[in-house]
Amino acid sequence: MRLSIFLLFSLISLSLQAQRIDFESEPDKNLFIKLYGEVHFNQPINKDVREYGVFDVHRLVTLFGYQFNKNTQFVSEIEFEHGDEIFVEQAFIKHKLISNISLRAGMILVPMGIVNVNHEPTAFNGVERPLVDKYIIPSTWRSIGIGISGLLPDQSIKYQAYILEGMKSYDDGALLSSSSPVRQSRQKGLTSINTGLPSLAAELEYFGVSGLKVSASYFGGQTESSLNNGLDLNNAQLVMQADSSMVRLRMFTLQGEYNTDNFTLKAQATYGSIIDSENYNLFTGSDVGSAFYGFYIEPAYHIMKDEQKKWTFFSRFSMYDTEYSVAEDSPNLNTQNTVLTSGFGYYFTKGVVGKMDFQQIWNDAQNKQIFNAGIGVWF
Amino acid sequence: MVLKYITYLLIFFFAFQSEQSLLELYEKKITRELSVENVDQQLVLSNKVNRAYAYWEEYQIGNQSDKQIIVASIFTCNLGGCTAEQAYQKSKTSQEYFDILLEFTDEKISRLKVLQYFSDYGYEVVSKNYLKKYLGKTACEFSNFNLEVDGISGATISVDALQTFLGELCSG
Repeated sequence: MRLSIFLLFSLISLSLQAQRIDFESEPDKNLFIKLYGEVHFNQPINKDVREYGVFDVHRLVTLFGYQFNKNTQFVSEIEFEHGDEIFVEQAFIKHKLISNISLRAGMILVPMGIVNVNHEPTAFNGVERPLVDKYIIPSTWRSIGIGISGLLPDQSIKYQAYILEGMKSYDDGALLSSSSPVRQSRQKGLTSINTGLPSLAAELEYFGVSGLKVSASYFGGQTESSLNNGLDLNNAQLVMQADSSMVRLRMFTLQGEYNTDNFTLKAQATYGSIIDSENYNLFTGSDVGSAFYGFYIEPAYHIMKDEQKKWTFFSRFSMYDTEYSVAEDSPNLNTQNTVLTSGFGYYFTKGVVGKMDFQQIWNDAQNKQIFNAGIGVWF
Repeated sequence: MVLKYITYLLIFFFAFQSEQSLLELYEKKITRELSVENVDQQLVLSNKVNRAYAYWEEYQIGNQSDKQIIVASIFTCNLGGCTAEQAYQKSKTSQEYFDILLEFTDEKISRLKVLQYFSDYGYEVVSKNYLKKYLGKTACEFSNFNLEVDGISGATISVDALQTFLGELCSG
């Protein structure tokens, strides 16, 4: 009898899942396969020093997804980088909990930065991704975790919040440094370690004004350390060393995009702070700062040839400092970079772009110029 | 023993019963939106249509002959992976959807709300501020694939699918 009642309720709940798109009778349409890729040529230009250029199959990413039914989806992205490195960029399930609120679990893109989330080569200007989205926001930044995303249609708001694997600051040596505060500390789901509380990532986006999208995002948490494995808690010396190999990381980003038919303006600013950097540097011998920042502003003008073909001319002014401030008594290295990138892209058709740009980088060490050319596809 | 048979009968009934209507699915939201008590009794189903590009239910409210309510599921495709034409012809290789509530008063759109949007792409179409632009227009203004209201960058397929659906309502 109990079994019958259970079956009855199961069937009632199944009937409530009824759907008009027939996901069951046409399962071949439930599988979706997509790909994006970019092939680059980078040539440094230097009057006094001979430097070679590089041809590179920078990224080739295959996306496989499956729509199980109206409410449940799986998305995966497998990346081949520089021809010989393989990574999983995304592997998550998305399940609608209630109307306009979904659960997401698995390997997720950290919702921070314009390029980190929309990183297909047809979505950004310039051959290479903005340097701010490499050295300050470590794109492609992904982590394993769980959380929710949702929409508030009346308020024109999208929100996301996740608990995720933390960054790793120590693995038989320091992973944070003044030249690269967080890029080397991504765990990328490669048997990521976790000792304390996971990190928190959240984003709030407003899209209520026609053509405009603005959002604020946060990432914060304690970093991880390989010294926590098998740590004898009665050995105060070892515990102190392990504690010194971890820091508290906080990052805030504000970003916006404004689009009209022929004009696009993108802007983004990130500020990150590393609490406990002094103890970390003392123990590891590293030189990471206590704060870092990066921002850019990028106007672009589009000349439409027809509905599919267009020229896009852009210029991006960026500034970033991988060690903006330091803890007391630490040396403050000059790590500020100013970058001007100008160029164009030609969209042969929707999803196929040829790009060319010229990049000028000013920093304390040098005045560097790079010519970049490349192609990108997304289909 | 009798209870057991009743249970089996109920199981059989629920297993083969027809699908839940969109009105039932969104009853609470529609009640709130239309400020109508007992939506299931006040709204009378006049037509149900299933096409390659959308499924929708048409309702009349009580005696208000000037008003028509439509609850629709509009079909698009996954991750923006098709053109509007492909979505419309159902020749796409993947499928996606969003559900809307539409009210016509004297054949003009007097209410448009997205009840549910699942995809991570094109969600800008749900914005109340954007959907305001459709108010006061007739379905026929969208026929012949006219983009009567400006599109949104990043939500091209959802906007095209919505406007294609409105155009098709005109031709019936």
